[in-house]
Formats: sequence, structure tokens, C-alpha cells
Amino acid sequence: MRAAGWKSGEGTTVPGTQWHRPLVAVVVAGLCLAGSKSTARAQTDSSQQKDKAGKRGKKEPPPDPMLEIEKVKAEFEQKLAGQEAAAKLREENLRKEQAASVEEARKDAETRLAADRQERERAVQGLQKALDEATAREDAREKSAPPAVHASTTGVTLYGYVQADLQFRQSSEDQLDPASGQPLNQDRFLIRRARLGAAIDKHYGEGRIEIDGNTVQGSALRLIDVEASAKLPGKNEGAPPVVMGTIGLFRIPFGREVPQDDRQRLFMERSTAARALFPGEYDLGAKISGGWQFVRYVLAVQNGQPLGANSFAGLDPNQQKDILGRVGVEDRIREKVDVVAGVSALRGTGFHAGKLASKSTVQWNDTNEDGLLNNLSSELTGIPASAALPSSNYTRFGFGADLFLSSRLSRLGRSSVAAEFYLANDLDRAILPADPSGIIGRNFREMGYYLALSQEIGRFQVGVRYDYYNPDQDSNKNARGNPVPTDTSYSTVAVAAACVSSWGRFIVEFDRNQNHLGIDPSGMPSNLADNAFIVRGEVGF
Amino acid sequence: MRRARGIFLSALIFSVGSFSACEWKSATTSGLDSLLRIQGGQAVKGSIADPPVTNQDATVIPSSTRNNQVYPGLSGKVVGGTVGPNANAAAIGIAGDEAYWMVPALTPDSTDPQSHFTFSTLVSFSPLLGQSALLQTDSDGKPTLPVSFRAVDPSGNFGAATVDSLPVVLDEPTGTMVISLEWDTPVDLDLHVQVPVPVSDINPDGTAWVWAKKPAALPSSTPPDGVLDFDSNANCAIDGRDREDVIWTGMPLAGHYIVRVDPFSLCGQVSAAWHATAFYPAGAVTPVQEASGVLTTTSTRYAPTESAGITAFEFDYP
Repeated sequence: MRAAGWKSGEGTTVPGTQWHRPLVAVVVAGLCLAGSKSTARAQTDSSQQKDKAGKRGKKEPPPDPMLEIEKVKAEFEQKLAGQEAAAKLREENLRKEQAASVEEARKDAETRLAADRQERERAVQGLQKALDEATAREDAREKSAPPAVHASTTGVTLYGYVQADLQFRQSSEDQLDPASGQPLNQDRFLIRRARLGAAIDKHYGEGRIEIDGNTVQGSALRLIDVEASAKLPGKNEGAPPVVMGTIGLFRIPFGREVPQDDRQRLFMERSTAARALFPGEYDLGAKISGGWQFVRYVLAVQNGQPLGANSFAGLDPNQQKDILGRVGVEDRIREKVDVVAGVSALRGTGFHAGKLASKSTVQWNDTNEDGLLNNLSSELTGIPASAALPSSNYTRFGFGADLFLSSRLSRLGRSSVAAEFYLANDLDRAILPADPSGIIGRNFREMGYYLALSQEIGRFQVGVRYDYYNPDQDSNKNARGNPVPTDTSYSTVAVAAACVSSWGRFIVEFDRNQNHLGIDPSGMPSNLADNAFIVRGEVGF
Repeated sequence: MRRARGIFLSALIFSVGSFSACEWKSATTSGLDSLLRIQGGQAVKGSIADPPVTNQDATVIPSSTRNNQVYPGLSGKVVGGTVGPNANAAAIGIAGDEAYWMVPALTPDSTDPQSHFTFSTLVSFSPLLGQSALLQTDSDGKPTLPVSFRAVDPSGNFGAATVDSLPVVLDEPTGTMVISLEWDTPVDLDLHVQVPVPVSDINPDGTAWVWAKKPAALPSSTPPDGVLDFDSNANCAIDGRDREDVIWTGMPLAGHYIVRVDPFSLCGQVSAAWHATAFYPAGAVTPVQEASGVLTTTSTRYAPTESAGITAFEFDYP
């Protein structure tokens, strides 16, 4: 570049003057043009001066153009040299300024980096200190902690929850039940459910063991959910298995309410119909269940004696098994509404217990009311021994339909509607146990339903449920002559509110119960005042 | 590995084949389904007429009983007899029944101690005897129960049957009017009947209640009429009768009658089904009034007064 630089008059190249060449050319051209113009003007001026001089009378000699040119050239070169020197000076100054600013920036950066480094070191030291303290605390806790629980395999989950109640019932009185000898007072604290379980979930199998403790009928601890399953898993994460075979003690797969987890229900207990037809919710048996896309199915064979049955609970007095199942759907419509619906059916065999043999007895009836045994022929009655009466079986069945809708209709939270309908024959095993082989000699047709509404409001949940159950729709069927009213139906309006957190709930509920358990002065069935107010604390893990 | 799998499958198939070839059900039974139950005997499924006669010589001679009559539910009736020759057991049953009974005969008979042996046992009769289709009728049209006896030798060969027809007495109370309450669980229910009585100082409204604590409407009447026959399962002392009747032998007084069922105690049971009837006039086969229901533990919380209980039915007589 320098070789292409502009040459000075002495034949040497002036460094850094490359950009001056066109400038110089322009300047020279300008000067020439100016020279010509100035010459012309000078000529004009000189002619004018001549005219003036002529007028004055004396004429000056004309300047030498070459000298003028040389002079201009010298001035130009001098200016150029001065400009070059100034440029060099500015360049040098600029370079110095840049170097100074770079140095200053470098120093600033180093200062900031040093400060940051110090700050990080302090932070690291703080974290290390906290870590050391936490480690020390953990070491101390481990030293004082009980022995750790180890599972024999991976995938084991430990879970549990407690539902502790305080309840008040309108029918409570400080007396004993003549039938059972148990207190009639129900205003009390009780542990309704205390569950502890362990579950394992493998790719092709599942297992579960759950125990239940409660004080409903005094302190009790019992086995409640024991399942061993083999499965073909679903394709997607969270999808139900395509098919799963289970054997053990599990919830009766009828409808939606009976197999529902007790922690998912807002209301304290299941509806009256569910408690009558499927008391205790659990029964022993085997089932095949699964789902594909939105379809859900389950088919089960069970003993037919649920854990809450009035007799032979957990046993099986006959060889025949109950066959039951449910087919339903479970889906989300337009990403807004969750839908669960299904139909259920059951066919089983009930057991009519025979009568044990008895021995001969003698009874005294004081027919003349004198308090004395003085008329043996009329006051003494002998009852001969009686042979045993054989037991027998009877057929029972039930149908059910269930629907659950849930959607977030407002900013408050989810709104839910649940309804279920039961229709059964000789299936009641708890509230009014059906026994068509007994002395009544006819079938008991049961019918029940419920409708529940609930609304989430932030961390709170409120709901109302109406349920109805009639254990014997034909209670007058065997009446001859003038039948008397013998309605045996139950209905309940339950209003509940709950405060919900991820680890527990606090629930209050008021039940307005209507029944026909009372007797009016004319001997007719009437309502036994039995409203209830229940407070529940629930904690789970 | 393949060989082991083959052995395993063969063993499985053999086990299943053996299993299916066996008689799964036991030949013996509790005998509760049969009309007879014999103390010390072993019930065998099937009719006593089923085994063929393979020992023509084996015979059985039933001994006469103190009372030939039987009734439904009769328990502890003494039955005995002699088997021989060379038989050491007796089969007892009703032809066509669900089961028959094998009774050992091991006591040498005094008349022929070498080849004849005697047996003696207690027989009970099913409470369902009165409803059995196996009952026969005698020449007077009265029901009889044909009890078959067969001698069985030590090899299990049966001899010919000897049939003894026992007269059956159906245990139904009789009277000009009978109001009954029955139930089928071991509970203490009480029959309460309000009956019309002559107006008196004791009964100014002309009514009185008949129940366990006042078993006669008119205690001074001769003979006492409108009387409760028995307080069954009183205080949960289970007697197995599970029935109470108020019986009139004379002409009942005209008026309004109220029948109630009082659950004095369910004796630990969850519920009790009941059936109440009223029969009149004498000899009526179908009830004039009838009702049934189920009582639960809640029903027992009311004080057992004379008018306690749930109303079964009301009627005016006549």
C-alpha cells in the first residue's frame, strides 16, 4: 500500500498519505482552474488597472506566472505538510486515547471480575456452610431416627390416611340397645377409618395390602384390601391396563360409588342404597378389568358376603358365587368436561340360614295372675325338643347405572354432578336383609338412587346430596284384609363443606334423615328423628 | 429345559385327568336336607331305595316304639330293631328322600347272638315334614310317613326293605279363633292382641291386651279363653318354637281386634322377619287376616308395654 503511496517532490513516499492523492489532484486541478480564472481575472484586472494606470499615467511590470505557481505549490506543500503533521498528531493522540480507554476498560473489567469472584466465593462458602450444617443435622437425625424401612424390590409405595370424626345424632340417648346391649348414644368421637397400605406397581403386575382400623363398633383392626394382579399395561403413561387379572379381597366393582376411594368423596358416607346392597364395599373374589381408550370394563366373581354383611361377613356359606360387572366410559369432552358413566349388573346366590335343634323346655304362664304356680294344667306349658331346620339358597340380582360430570364452569373451581340408580332383588345384606326363603316367603325388591352436586371454591368445596332407598317396595304384598302402612324407605339430604389441602381435609356435614324406624302411638311406622351433624379431620400421605 | 417343560406339562395333564376322573363330591352329607336325622348315624346321599338288594338273607325287624305318632320337628324319638343274619348295620330313610342314614348294629341279639345284632338310636323329623311330598295317606286319609329299614352286611350289601308307616300329626293349633305370630330367627318377639271384653272396673273401655305378661284376656273365665299359649324365646332363652298363638276355644266376643308385633329383643340378631295370621271360624284353612314384615334393631328401643309393637292388622269380629 505504501508502495502505491503518493510521492513527494523529492521522490520519497510519504507514509499515510495515500488518501491525499485524489485530494491533491483535485486541489491541483482546482488551483489550475483558479489560476486560469485568476489569470483571466488578472488580465481583466490588469486591463482595468491599465486603464486606471493609464488614467494615472504609470504602468507596473506583470508577475512571473511560474513563480506564482511555484509559490502556490510551495504554500500548498507547506499546508499539506502541516496537515499531515496534524493528522499524524491526531492519529497519535487517538491511538493513545484508545489505548488508554482500553486499558481503563480492562482495569474496570478486572475489578468487576474480582468483585464477582469474591462474591461467588462468599456465596459458595455460604452454601457449603449450609450444606455442612444440613449434613450435620441429617447425620444427627439419622443417628437418632428409628431403623429405616427397606423394600425388597423397587416400585413399592407406602400410603395411608386417617378420618377422625366427631358426630352428633338426634337419636342418641343414654341407654343401651335391648337387642345388642350396645350404647344408644352416638354423640361421640370416633375413628371412622385409619388405613395403612403398601402397594407395588410393576410393568406386568400389581399388588396391594391394606389394613383398616376403626372404633365404629369398638377398637378394631382388620384386613381390608389385598390384591394380587397380573396385567397387560396400556400404551400411554397413566392409561389403564388393557387387561388385568386380580385375585384377592377388593372393592365390589358395582357402580361408581361403591368402588370409589373414601378420600375422593366429599360426603362422609356412601348413600343408603350402597350401604345396604354392598355393605363394607369389600368382598373376596377374582376379577378381570381394564380399559381401552375411553372404555372401561370389569367382570368379577365374588363370594357374595361383603365385609359389612349382617351375617357370614368375609365367609361364604354356599358354593355358588356372585357374578357381577360394569361397563362404562371415562373421557374428557372438548377438553372441558370430564365424564364417567356406566352400567352394572350382578347375579348371585343368597343364603337362608336354617334353625338349630333345640331341647325340651317348660314355661310357666301365670294365667290367673296370682303370682303362684297353682294351676299346673293351665299355667305350665311344655315345649318339646325341635329338630334342626335345613338351610337353603335363593337367587338375587341387581342392576345399576351411574353418571358423573365435572367441569370448570367458573374461575371458582370445578363443578361436579353425580347420580346413581340401583334396582335389585333380594340383595340387601345390611339394613333390611332380604330373605325370600324365610317366613315372609316372597322376594324383596329394592330400589335406590342419589343425586349429588358439588362445587370447588378455591381451597374449599361445598356440596349437597339427596339419596333415597326403599328396601322393600312390596311391603304390603302379603297383607290380607285391611293392610296397614308399612313403608320402609329411607331418604337423606346431606349438606357438606370441606377445606381441602394436598395432605388432608376438614369436613363438616349435616344429614337430614327420614326413615320409618319409629312407631307412633297407633303402632304405625313413623319417622325416628335421627338427623346428624358430623365433623371430620382427614390427613393422608 | 425343553425336556423339563415337557415333563411339567405331562404331569399337569395327568393331574387334571386324574382330578376329573375322581368323584369330587363326597357321598356323605350332614343329612339336614332329609326328613330324618339320626343321632349317631351317618347320612349318605341318595334315596334308601337306590342300593340294589344284593343280600337276600339280610333282614331287619324294627322294634315297636312307645308312640308311633310323629309330628314336624319331633326330636329324639327312640327307634331300634334287629338285623341279621350276619348284618351289622341298618339303613334307615324315606324312599325318595335326599339322604338315608347308616346306623351300626353291634349289640348281639339275645335270641341269636351269633348272627343277629340290635340297634337303637334317636330319630328327629324335619320341621318341614308337613310340607313334604313324600307323605302318604292311610285308609282314613290321614298322613303317614313311610320309614324304610334295610339290613346291611359288612361288605356293604343291602337286604330288602321293611317299611313302617308312622302316622303324622300336623302341629297346628285349633280353636274357634286363632291369632298367630311366627318368625324365623332366634329372637324374642311378642304377640300383643287387643281384644274386646265386657266393660268392668278393670276394663272400663271394654278392651284388654293379651300378651306375655297378661296371657289371658279374662283370667277368671272358665275355661280361660283368648289365651296366649306360649311366650317363645322369652328373655332370649331360645326354645326353637318361634311362634306364639292366642287361642279361643269358645265363641270370641264381637268387637274390634288389634294385632301387634313387639320386638322385645332381637337377641343379637340384626333383623327379624315375622308373619302374623288370624284364623276363624274353627276349621278355616286360609287366614282371614294376614300380614308380614321385618323388624330391625331400631325397633327394639321402645318400652315393652302392653300396647307396644308395630301394628300387623286390625279387624272386626265377626
